[in-house]
Amino acid sequence: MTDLSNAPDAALLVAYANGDPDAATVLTRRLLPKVLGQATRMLNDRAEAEDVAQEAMIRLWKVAPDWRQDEAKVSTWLYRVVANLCTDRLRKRRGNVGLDQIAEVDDGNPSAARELQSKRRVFALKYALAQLPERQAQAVALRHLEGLSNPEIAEIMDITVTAVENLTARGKRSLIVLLAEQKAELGFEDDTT
Amino acid sequence: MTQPDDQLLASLFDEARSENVEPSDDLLTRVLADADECQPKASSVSAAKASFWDRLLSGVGGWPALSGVTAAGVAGLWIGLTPPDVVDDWVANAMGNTTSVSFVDDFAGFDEVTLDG
Repeated sequence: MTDLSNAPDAALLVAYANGDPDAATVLTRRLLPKVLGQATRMLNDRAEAEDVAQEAMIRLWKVAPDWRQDEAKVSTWLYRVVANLCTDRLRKRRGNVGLDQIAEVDDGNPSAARELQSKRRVFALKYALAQLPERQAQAVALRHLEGLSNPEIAEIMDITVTAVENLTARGKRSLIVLLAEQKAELGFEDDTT
Repeated sequence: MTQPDDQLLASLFDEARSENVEPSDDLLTRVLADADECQPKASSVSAAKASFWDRLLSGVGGWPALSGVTAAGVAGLWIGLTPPDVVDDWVANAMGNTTSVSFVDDFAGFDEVTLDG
């Protein structure tokens, strides 16, 4: 068997399209954790994140025969696909789920109060993120949840670096306004994190 | 916007980033099953690559016609290499004897031209 473990993503994708039986396994083990992580951080819902991750990977398999190695990085392409799939789901979720509902679900969980508070904070952030305009939400998530650089985000979103800076700045301002009302509820007034 | 608000947001981002996410075995299995289902099969890949030859072959009547052409070629080559006496006699009667004439003695490799006698 050919050692594919060090092959670049694009080369593996071409090998997959040419019928190599091992390329998909190597690509999946390499890319799926990143894809699932991005979806989970954006959606804060494991089941939904797994659905998004599976859908993103299906799109990758389907695009493989037409992939041109010199056009884009596979990881960049996947970031874009996952961001778009998550944004669609966040849009549908808007207004349907509130912090109270999550609190009720977690009330039945005997975990420590601190862990519960952490979950509620993260959920509050994702919930607020879902209220932002799509492009702002994407830029903020890629910058502050995925830790990507502005040039990387510019490539993923197909916009200029300046536009990325504007989107993230506006997005953060909006998030602060949205979260300000919940500061006490999230334990930030008596918590010196 | 105040500094504490920025810190609040930074703290929330830190908490969100710290989530540990590993794909479950079930998800891995589903993704690999999708990959297998979506993968172009070897036959379709080679068919796509051989489409030129398919078109070429169909133009001459497919493989059966090509096997006939091949057989004729092999037979012709064999006859050319080992002509039976009757063929030599027939050629001599029909076209006359052949004579070799050298035009350029020191032009190695191109020094003979066959003319009808």
